[in-house]
Amino acid sequence: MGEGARDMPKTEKLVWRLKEIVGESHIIKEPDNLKDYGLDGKRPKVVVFPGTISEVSKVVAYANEQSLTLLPMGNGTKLGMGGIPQKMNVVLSTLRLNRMTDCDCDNLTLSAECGIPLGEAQKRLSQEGKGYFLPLDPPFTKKATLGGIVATNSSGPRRLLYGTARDLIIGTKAVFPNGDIVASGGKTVKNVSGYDMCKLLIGSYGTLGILCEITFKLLPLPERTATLLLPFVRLEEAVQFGREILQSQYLPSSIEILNEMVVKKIKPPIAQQGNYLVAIGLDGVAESIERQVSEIGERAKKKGALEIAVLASETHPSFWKAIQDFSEGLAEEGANFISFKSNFLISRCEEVMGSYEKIARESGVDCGLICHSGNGVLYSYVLAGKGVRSKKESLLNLIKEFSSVAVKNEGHLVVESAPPDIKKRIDVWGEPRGDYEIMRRLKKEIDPKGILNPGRFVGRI
Amino acid sequence: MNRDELKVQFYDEVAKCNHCGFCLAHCPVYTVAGREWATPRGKNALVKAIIEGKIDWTPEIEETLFRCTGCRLCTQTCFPAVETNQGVLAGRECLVDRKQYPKVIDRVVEALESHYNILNEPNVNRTLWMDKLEGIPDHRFQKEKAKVIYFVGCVAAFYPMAHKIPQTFIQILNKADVDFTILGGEEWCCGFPLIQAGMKDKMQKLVEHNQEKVKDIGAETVVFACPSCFHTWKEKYQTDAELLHSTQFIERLIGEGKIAFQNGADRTVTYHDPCDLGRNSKVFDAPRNILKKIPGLNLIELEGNRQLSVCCGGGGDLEMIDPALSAAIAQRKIEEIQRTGTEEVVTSCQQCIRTISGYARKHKIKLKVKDITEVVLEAMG
Amino acid sequence: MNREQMVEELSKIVGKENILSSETDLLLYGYDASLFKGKPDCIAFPGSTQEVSEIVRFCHREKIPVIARGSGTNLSGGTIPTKGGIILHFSRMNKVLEIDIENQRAVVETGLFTLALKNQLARHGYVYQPDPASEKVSTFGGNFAENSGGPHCLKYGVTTNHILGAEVVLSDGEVIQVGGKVLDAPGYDLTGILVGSEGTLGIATHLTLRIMPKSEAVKTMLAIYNSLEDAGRTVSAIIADGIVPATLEILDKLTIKAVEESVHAGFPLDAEAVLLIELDGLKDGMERLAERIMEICRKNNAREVKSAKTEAERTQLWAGRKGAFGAISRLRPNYLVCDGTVPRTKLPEVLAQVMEVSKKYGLTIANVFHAGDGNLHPLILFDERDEEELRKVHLAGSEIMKLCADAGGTISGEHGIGTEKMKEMFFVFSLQDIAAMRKVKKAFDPEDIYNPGKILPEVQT
Repeated sequence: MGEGARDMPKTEKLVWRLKEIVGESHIIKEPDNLKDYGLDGKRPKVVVFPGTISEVSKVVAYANEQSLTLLPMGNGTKLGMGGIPQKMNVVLSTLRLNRMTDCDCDNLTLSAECGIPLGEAQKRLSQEGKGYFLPLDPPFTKKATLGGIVATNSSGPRRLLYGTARDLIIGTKAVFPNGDIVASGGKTVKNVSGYDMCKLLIGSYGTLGILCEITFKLLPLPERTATLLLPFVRLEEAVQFGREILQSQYLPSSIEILNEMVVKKIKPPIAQQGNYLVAIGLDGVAESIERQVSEIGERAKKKGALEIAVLASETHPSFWKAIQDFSEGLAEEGANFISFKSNFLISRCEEVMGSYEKIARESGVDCGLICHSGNGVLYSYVLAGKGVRSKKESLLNLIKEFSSVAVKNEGHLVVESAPPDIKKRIDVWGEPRGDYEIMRRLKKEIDPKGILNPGRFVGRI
Repeated sequence: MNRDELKVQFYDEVAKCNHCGFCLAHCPVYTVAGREWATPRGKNALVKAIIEGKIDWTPEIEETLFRCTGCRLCTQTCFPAVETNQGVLAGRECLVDRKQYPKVIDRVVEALESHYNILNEPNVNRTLWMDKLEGIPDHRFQKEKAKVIYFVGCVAAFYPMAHKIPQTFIQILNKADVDFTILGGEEWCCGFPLIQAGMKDKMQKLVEHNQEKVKDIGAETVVFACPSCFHTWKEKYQTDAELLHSTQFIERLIGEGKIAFQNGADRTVTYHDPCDLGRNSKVFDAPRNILKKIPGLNLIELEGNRQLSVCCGGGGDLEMIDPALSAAIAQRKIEEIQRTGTEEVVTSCQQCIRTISGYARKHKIKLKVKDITEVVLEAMG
Repeated sequence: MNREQMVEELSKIVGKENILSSETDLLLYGYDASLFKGKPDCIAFPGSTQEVSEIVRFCHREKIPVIARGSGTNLSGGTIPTKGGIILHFSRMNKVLEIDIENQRAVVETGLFTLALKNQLARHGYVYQPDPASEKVSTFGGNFAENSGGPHCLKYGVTTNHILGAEVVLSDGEVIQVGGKVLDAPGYDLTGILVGSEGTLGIATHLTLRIMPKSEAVKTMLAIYNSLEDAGRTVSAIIADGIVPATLEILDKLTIKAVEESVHAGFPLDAEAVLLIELDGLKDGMERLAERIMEICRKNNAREVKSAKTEAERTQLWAGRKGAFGAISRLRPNYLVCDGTVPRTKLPEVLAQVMEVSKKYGLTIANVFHAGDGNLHPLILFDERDEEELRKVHLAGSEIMKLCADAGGTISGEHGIGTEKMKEMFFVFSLQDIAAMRKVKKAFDPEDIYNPGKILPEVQT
């Protein structure tokens, strides 16, 4: 059958219908402009920018009716994550959904549309009353939108104290594949009315519904913050020390362990570098920060820290920003890299980090490690350098070995970004587990036609 | 008792149960049985259902109502303080009137009617425990007149495992120069087993006999080492005599300087509050005060102590009706004792001793189980 | 299938001694702590996941409803066998399987009492944070199914924030592991959707829990008021001042009276309300914060503010709170606990409306609630044996739910929907919202054998 002949009118009809829904000026259909929206060699027919949730609903309903696939996108910071799209008819941009619908700081909640960058929301919250914040500190500090962060369950170092999206979100409004606007939760911190659909949407990569509005729990800004930078010579010492603090009654907001490669790039204000840097973030009341800085520092000295550097409120944000934006920094340098997220038992940090460094060394590549050591979550960055093609087999082997280390430690390896040649050869999510079948059934019930972001999630959902 | 009487007396009581289920955490029977019938909540629900005519007197109701130790920990921990055990006992009375009760009870009734003791032995055998003691005076502690009567109780009198209690207690009384007597063959069962059996109307003859004996002897005080006899006397007897548990009496003798401790005891023990002494008669301090007076003796409390003490499994005729269930509760008790790290438990009840040490012996568990009178006598030297 | 056959089949799986089916037993498993009653076909006591799986497989084949049950403390009728079926009772599966301090996790069987684990953890200096009022008897399975809350949820979140994984028997008998000891497993957050699903999606047999080191210090305060509204306003004021205590609990006059009669917590009988406040964390600065809080209480017309000096005093104050529900039943034989949640700023307003409802129906209503979470618990007092009164109680309960919903809140904060509030679901959810939930149900339990007739109202299509 002549596919092209059937496609043409269909695309035209699609554009016409989308125009009708969102208005002409909120559509991109020119091939030149569509280039920027391509992903893994595929390009959308059209990009649509709905301005309201009801417009999103209409767009999705139409796509569903026509069996057209939709790829939801904010600023596209995490577009590289996930598998290669099976099909990509329409990109649905959330950028015009950018209202703070209910900033109720007295109730410690914020309802906001998902196209707002987190940074912008934080700025506004910090100016409300005595100052509030949304306790999420994921990568891409400038551009990441609320929707993208939540859809990918993105998090940062301070998750140790504040948790992740699943702990902070109390309500969502999403458009489901049939176009239904589905609300779940609300603006109360306790809510067991009906199924907790929010949980299902968090980290679902837009495969079940398009997040439109999200309600978060807020917290008052901490009275004081500080960071301890503690360089160690040996990985074992660094990890042991991190664990000692984790098991104590101190309440750090983060316990990060960085390896030398990362330290060299972010250039923290320390005199002696060591091979591993333990960075302990502290949020809280002034007295507790003072005591923790001095006591944790003392303990670190005893456990072999080469230096105790303390970052006070002014210098500390830029340090953490550098960690959060590490992969963005690499990208800006034009580095050719593969990034990974591994999770594993908290007690296995040393084994996993040590093994990764060893595997990288044996493969002849540089590897940066940033570990949320209190959570058992590790971000690794392998610099592939030039000539990825020639190294392909060795890199694929490295991925396999990384993965088996994570699995051995009861965890998983997810490839967060990789050059197309590599990505084609792997399942970025790793092997599906025993709970995959129920995930597939959920997808099938909710999105029977498979129009939402097909092929990009676990097990090619 | 019949359903209508049950309704008049207990409907309001059981209606207070909101089935919140908090009693499940405490009920020793539920803890080992894990079934709703075992729970105080379930028992309230059944009594209520009977009253409302929603269920008939099924065989399961009989099984259920006769499986309660009467420890009353449920009431203690129940916010509206529903008197579940009262409803249970009333339910048993109804069942008895319907001739629907465990047949083993008939043996006890028969024993009490013919020999006035639960063992169905000639009642003169009540003093056989004395035979092993040396230096017994000719009156064998059975005097016509005395200031104090020591009411020994059936279990201590007849069960060899509990003989040590009267054996030590009379030595204590003797050493302390107390003018006391026992009733010997004239001591009749206090009637406690009949209350538990749902036959409290059969106990009157026993009560009257015992009350009469107190008058005859002209005693000012009746002392009990058995918490259940003690509790029954306090609840059901009318007498001018002062009623004291052995621990209260010993505490008094210590206060009067009649008991002094020559021997130190360099060891750690824990103390188990018998339900009928502690929670049900509110005697918590006397045994503890005694133990504290013994030089070198260190007391560690159980997790469930005083009002929250957990039954040993021997309460409320349960041992007679369902020995396996009773033993399973004893096992939990022993585990609780072991968690204190001590190897010696002191209590002040012959039934608790029998249940706990019986289980420990059968399962070769290293545990010393002592009555407080033994500890006292040892320390007196 | 008739009962005899059912018993015979089940006996093959768990043994005859672990099946109950007499009329008496059917009555005993037909109630929970709610006002509802039902009647199962029989009751089975499985001893292992394998046995649960086999029973479910049998039920799936024969289309027999399966209702999982722990201690039956449910307040919304979640464990009521409204459509008959088999009660799976978990009293035999009550072991702590593992306390893994190194990884800060515990693994338990779901029949275990919450407090039993906490007692064991205390020996390691660790805590499991959720503290439902019924914790001494509520099982982990029940907590999992209901997403239980408790006073400390203000700071630490509810059960869902502390359950990281589960071994789950699906409705066809298949056993899967969702989540686990590690965080961020790739794929949909099945643990998240299962927690709070009231036994309608899956039956958990093992749970993996997050445990944390015990707080270094605790400070408990009590503020006494001559007006309930002032107490409510204090709550908002404390939060607006940037302080998030571990707990903020209010008891009103009626509750105070009942509590004093049963547990003697030391609350003054002539007060209109008491506010229980607890701070926890590091000891540093805690006195200063406590001072600030007490100052806020005084500013909001507290007539007296005191703080617990000893652990015994603290326990006593808490005994008053924990015993409140039960103590109420000293006033009248029965009570209905309403469980509505509102944005915390709406508390004073909604409380006043609740009192209007009390007047309208001539019913006594006592209030004891998690004020910091905006979680109200109006307790309507009555005598179950008075049918007319009971009818009014149901109407008043429903009306209070409507008030909460209209104030931007919801119809259940922690007790669940169960059989009690299915029609009230429409106060907060649209047909589309419910249709989406139904899809989730269908993905997990297409035959509707798990706890049928709960949560989701029938929708006419």
